[in-house]
Amino acid sequence: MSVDLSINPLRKGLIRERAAEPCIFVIFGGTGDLSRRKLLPALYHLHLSNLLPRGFAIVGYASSEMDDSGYREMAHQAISKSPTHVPTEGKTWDQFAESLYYVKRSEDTEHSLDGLKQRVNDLDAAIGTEGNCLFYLAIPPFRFAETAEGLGEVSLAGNNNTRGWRKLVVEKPLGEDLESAKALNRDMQRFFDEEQIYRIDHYLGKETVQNILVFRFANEFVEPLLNAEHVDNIQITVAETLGLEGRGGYYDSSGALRDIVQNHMLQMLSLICMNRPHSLDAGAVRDAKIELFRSIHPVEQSKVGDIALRGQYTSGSISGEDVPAYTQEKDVAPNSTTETFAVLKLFIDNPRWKGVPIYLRTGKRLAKRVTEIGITLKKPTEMFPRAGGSGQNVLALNIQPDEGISMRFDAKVPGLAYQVQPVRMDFKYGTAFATSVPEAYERLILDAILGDQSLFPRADATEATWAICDPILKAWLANQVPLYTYKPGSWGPREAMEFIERDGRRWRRL
Amino acid sequence: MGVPESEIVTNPAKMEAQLASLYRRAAGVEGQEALIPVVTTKLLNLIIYASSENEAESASHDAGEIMGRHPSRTIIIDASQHAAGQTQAAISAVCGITERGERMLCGEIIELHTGGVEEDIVGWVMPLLVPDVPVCLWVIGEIPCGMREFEAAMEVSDCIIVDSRRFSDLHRGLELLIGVCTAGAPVRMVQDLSWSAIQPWRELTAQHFDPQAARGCLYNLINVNINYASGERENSPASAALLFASWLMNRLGIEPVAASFDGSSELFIDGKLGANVIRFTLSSENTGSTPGAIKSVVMQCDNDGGTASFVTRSESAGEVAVSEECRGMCYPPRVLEMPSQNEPTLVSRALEIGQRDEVHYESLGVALRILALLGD
Repeated sequence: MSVDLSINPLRKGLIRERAAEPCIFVIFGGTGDLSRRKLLPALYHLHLSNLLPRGFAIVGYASSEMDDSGYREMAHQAISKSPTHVPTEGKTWDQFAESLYYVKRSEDTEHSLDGLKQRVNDLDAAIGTEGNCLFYLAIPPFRFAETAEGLGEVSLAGNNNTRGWRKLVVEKPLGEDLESAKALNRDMQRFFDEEQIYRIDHYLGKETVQNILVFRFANEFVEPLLNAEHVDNIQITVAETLGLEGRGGYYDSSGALRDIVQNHMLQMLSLICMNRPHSLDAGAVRDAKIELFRSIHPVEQSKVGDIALRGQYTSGSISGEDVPAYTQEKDVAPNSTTETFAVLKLFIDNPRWKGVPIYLRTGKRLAKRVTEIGITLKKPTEMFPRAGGSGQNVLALNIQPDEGISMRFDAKVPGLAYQVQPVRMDFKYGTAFATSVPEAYERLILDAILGDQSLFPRADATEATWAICDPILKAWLANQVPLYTYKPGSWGPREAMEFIERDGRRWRRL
Repeated sequence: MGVPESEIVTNPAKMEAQLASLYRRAAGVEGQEALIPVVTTKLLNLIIYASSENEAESASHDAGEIMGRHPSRTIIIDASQHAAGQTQAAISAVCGITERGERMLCGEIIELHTGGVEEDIVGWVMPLLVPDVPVCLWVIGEIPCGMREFEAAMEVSDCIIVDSRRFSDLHRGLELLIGVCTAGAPVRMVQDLSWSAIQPWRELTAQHFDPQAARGCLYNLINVNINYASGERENSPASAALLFASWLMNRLGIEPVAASFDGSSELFIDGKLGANVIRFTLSSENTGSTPGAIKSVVMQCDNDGGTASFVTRSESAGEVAVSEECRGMCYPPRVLEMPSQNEPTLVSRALEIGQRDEVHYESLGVALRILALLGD
């Protein structure tokens, strides 16, 4: 009798028809902030949900002086402090702790990864991870290339000469402009194939972002409206009330355009505007996105002032609390011209979206923490006297914090006359589904282990989004356009209001 | 979720108005200062069919818990004869504070006491169904085929939830179940809580064989021992154990060829896979656990001339231990959290399955073949 051993026949019909394969999960920067706040708690939640494979080990790799038990203690503290308040005692914790190991980064630059390689090989033999290994680079981006190279040199990288699979997970910022992004991709691809590289944009792990595709393609009433015939404009807003939160050094060399627009906002734009992919598999979704990115009308550096605007917050107060000006923040240069606020107006050069402006607005120390995609439809021919509102329907996808979808439409004011007034219809995740929403990192880590790349931007997508931002970045770095200021707790510089009002439109009041 | 308010209604036409009044009271706006906003969400209509007073009472208790995960309009039909006189309804708003604490999320429970007046039920239930959301019918006990009100409720239902653990005659019950599965509208789904209860056992068993190196063992099985808590019924095996064995046979292509039951605690099934005969033993023991609950599954196979064992064993109500004994491909034993198996959890799990579960249907077919062998 011949049987196919490549699939587990018992998995058919189970919630997960594919299980994660045994592997070693190596975290470069295993003691850092990202590991403590996000990665270790997410891995523990996956363990609690019994979603990690039986043969599994986590290896923290960092420069701190520590042994396995010290790392387990550090992880225990980090997970205990995580806001989800999961129990970290008992057998379940003990089993998770047993899967944690630590390797101290060697000072010997020539052989810095030898110790890690030895530990990975030992664990592979002891636990039976079939040669599978994932490297999560929770380290500063300038070390991505050298780390990929180091892994290549000790034969921990490519698929060719090894048993099992090898994967590399990196997180933004992936480059600081188009040229450096291309260089980074090139450097990583010298040692890892594109199919082995997972670029995390944690926004794509959010339920509400994933729901954009469901909302568009599972509901017949939505898709026919999303085109130039019906849509007047799209506004994507990522507003934060927070300032730098100790990230001054990073932020001052980055700014709002690199930190938020180039990745999160353009990814959201692609999900709302791309054509229907022929399937949900990673290649099809990523192809549809890249087609969209390449259709975005190129920006000329000399005309950046027409389509983009930047701002920086001054000192002031938010909710009664005094906050310093950006240039007075820790680790920020006193004469810094880094933008903490950015707006862009983009157009898509395809028949579907021809002439529809897409406004992107993001900033720190703004009036409210909110991420939203607002789609304003065209104004119908007026038939009825209006008691208020613009007469334009709005479809709003609330990404955070009040996750859901709302719709603004006109209704007749009760009475003897035909008078209309806008009303709002809300769907809220928190009240429609009583189950809690998984953390973005849980989904993304599990997908990376499973080898599902759907939610990870491909190299060509990161380069395409840098290509969109590059001329703006260059114009801003060269101070070709003014840097406006705004008060904390506002919605940005006054000039940002004028920017959109010149088009006869207004920012959505959020 | 708590039940802050309830009212008795004798006129179905007034039901919606009285529910609205309940919500106003829950929000504290009728003569009281406003508390926090009240949101009513109904993602489905859940009709619970109870044919005895006890069933109706436990349904009422479980409904509140289910609503915590599946905000719904729940209509409990108490079809028992205990309440004489005209049909009346008790309505309750069931509210809980949302995770972030900014809203009070409410659903509602309508308990219909028919006093055995069948014809009233259709007239009460149909107008109460919330339009455009699915209708699920949960039958707590036996499938009351032939009962007019049950069949009327089934007609409007998109899914039906039963519990074969409660069937007094398992063979007859499963036959009825497969009839319900295959008859009627093609989109109708049938969920069996007994099948939901073995889902964690199926998952853990599958995990033994996720590593490719272990998979060959599945096709060299020698025997499978399934141990379960006694007390479900006397004259036939427990439903969960039988369904688990049937599932394993179905997934591995094992054809049941002989079965014998000693009448009290052990069922032997011989299954054929190619030339191999595999012995399945389903045995019960008095453990004090929920009657019929699986306690352990031990699978043994030929492993390069030796024997390999794959063991999944319930340690306590909330924990299960997984271990293996084999050569060269085993992982260390571990203890995992066992998801709750109480009835509201199982119903919630069943409600989350959005499509026909073909593996369930195929396994049901195998279970019926085994029961037929027992009858021969």
